[in-house]
Amino acid sequence: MSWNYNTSLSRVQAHLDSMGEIEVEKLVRDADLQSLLSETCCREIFGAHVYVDVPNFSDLATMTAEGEEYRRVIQALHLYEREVARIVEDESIFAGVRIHFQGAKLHALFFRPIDDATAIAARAVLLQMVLRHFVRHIFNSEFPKLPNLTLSGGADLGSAIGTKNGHRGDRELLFLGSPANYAAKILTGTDVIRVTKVLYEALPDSLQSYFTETTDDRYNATVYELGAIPIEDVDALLEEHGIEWDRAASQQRLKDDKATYPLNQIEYSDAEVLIDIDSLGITNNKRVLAASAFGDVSGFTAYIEKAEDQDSLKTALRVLHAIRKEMASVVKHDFDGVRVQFQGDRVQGVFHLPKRDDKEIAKKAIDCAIGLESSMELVIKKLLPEAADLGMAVGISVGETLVSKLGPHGHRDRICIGDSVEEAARHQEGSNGGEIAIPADVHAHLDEELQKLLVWNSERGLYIGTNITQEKAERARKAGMFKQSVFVTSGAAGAYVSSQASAGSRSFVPSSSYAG
Amino acid sequence: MRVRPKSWFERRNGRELFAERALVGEHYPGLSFRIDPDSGLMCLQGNITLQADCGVTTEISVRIVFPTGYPDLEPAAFDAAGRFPVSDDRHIIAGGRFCLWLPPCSRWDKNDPNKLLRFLDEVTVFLERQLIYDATGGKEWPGSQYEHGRAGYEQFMLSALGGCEDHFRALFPTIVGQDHPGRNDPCPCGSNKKYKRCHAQVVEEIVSRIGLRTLNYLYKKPQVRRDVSMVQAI
Repeated sequence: MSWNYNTSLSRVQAHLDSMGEIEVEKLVRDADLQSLLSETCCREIFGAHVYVDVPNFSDLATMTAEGEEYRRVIQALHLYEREVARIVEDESIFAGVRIHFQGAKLHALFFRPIDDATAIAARAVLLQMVLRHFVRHIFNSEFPKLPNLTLSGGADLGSAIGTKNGHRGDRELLFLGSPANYAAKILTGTDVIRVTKVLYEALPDSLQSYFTETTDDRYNATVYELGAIPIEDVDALLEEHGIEWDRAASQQRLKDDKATYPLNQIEYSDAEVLIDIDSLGITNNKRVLAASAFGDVSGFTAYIEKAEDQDSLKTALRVLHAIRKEMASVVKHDFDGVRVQFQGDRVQGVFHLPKRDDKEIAKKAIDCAIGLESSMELVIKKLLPEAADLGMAVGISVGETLVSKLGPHGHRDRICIGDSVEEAARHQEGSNGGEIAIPADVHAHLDEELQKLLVWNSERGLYIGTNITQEKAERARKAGMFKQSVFVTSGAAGAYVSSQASAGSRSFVPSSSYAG
Repeated sequence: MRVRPKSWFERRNGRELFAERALVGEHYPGLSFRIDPDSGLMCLQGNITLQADCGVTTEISVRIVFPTGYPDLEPAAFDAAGRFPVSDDRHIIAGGRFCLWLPPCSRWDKNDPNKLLRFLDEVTVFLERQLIYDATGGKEWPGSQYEHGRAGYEQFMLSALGGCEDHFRALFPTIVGQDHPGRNDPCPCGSNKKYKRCHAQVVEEIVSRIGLRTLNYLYKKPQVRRDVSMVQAI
């Protein structure tokens, strides 16, 4: 399995040829986004994007010993996602949009009432308050054998483009634009809830008073942190904003779910063959040694925000869909990986075969990263010159990973969780377009020629490869072949130099070059 | 009136050119013969397309210039579009000329019917090495190479003397024409044999392959020669 230029070229061309006319309009009335949005039906949606993470789940999925303890982690994750989904989506509670869970990290959107910044911002903050209370006081007490879970939150307000990927039965909402990015960026990974300045300023006074101003040193941006709130205040604020969240009902649903999904019905196993993630569920989970890879279209958020008119927006979306589908094909078809999710303009892939072979798994993930770079640099930019300023940033890490499909019945999310998943995401987020970032243990598994293409960055503690395409990687691997005989074939298709004989090849030991 | 001597491609009713054109057409169809209007020299111009396993092709524009003394003298290959920087480290000299080999190690064999095809294959491998040099960050030339300038010739001398550094030190003045031992004198290598029965033949061979003109050019003015131990054996 490998990346091939002609295969990639025809895939992207076929997708572009079959892609319908893209329509982008501002969302001006309430709508069911799941039904409305598609690859070609896109909407500019003003709303609050909320990310809420329970970072402990990654550690638990990685560190927990085999057996009942591990089944309890899966049960807890499943039940957490089910109840959180209800709180977010239930019309009588928050009536928001659960875009998806990225592992244990929720991405939700509030856009109702349309264009009402104050009400929307308030809902975003109240959701975070409710979920913090839910985790601390309801969920933790229901799972006393697990360490106390904590919640990290981030929210931003503004317009983003909503669209959807085009796979039948595998459709995911995608949001492009800075609010969808920034809400995730300001997550701290610790027990802190933050909102951006834009969202804070839209809040009513009654909510602003719970925040304190601080600076996010990573982005040198002003953010606002939510302080402690007495439960009576939470109740009063929910009532003020017409949100009916019943703590007792939430607790009862959790208990009911626990009875419905008892530990003895939760199964997990290693995977001998390629995981079909859609066949997984609470009774059939996979715990595998896997390489996680995140490939992100660097510069896309700026590109879409620079689009000044409808035509430019349409062009940007056409570029995104071409890249997005090609990224998935590279992961799935070229390198036998599992495409877990699209997350806006990035793709998450997992490589777990051969089973428990960390060296081969790492090599496959790197080859895939090079494939992603190649598709971007050699194919996308050739067919879509408007993508010239975009780049592909890839992060990779290898470790114990839980793969499943969990959450509410009928709308479960593909879950891939573990410390290495988080690390791979961080490595990607810290990389520029054209860069592949890998840790030293992954680097150690690569062949010598490929190792030389990645340079140690002591500041990041990672090896970084820049602008490595498949062609360059192949050529790097050929560097040692000129001391023996080489074989040249040539004709109408061009000339090919190899260390292996082939039909009609001519052989000779290359001359020692000289420059006088 | 003085008649202009026929160029190599005009002789024998152009049969040589016809044969070369057929060979090039079959193996390097991106190249075509044309006469350079300024110099009047025959050239082979166009693209050499290099393939990678992954299907990516790279076209490199080249110009092969045939001297008037062709085929006794070998052609010269150039980077026609200035794709690669002129650099000793990548064996490209002024004018974009490719230094395929150290001149005394030339593979050119005027009697070989496939000489031009072999030459173009060497150019192809040279271009592949350029792409590899770029792919690996320009740190190390792929494959073997002679050092630049005089050091490269001295590597050749050392190699022709079987890699023996003592012999190289002893015979170097003779090779470069600073000493002239008589054929019946003791060999400068210290073997106690007569020079003619020891190293005379190999020294003549080295001098002949490098050429007196080149030796004079390189060693006309006495210069401090690098210690032979510093010369990397090839």
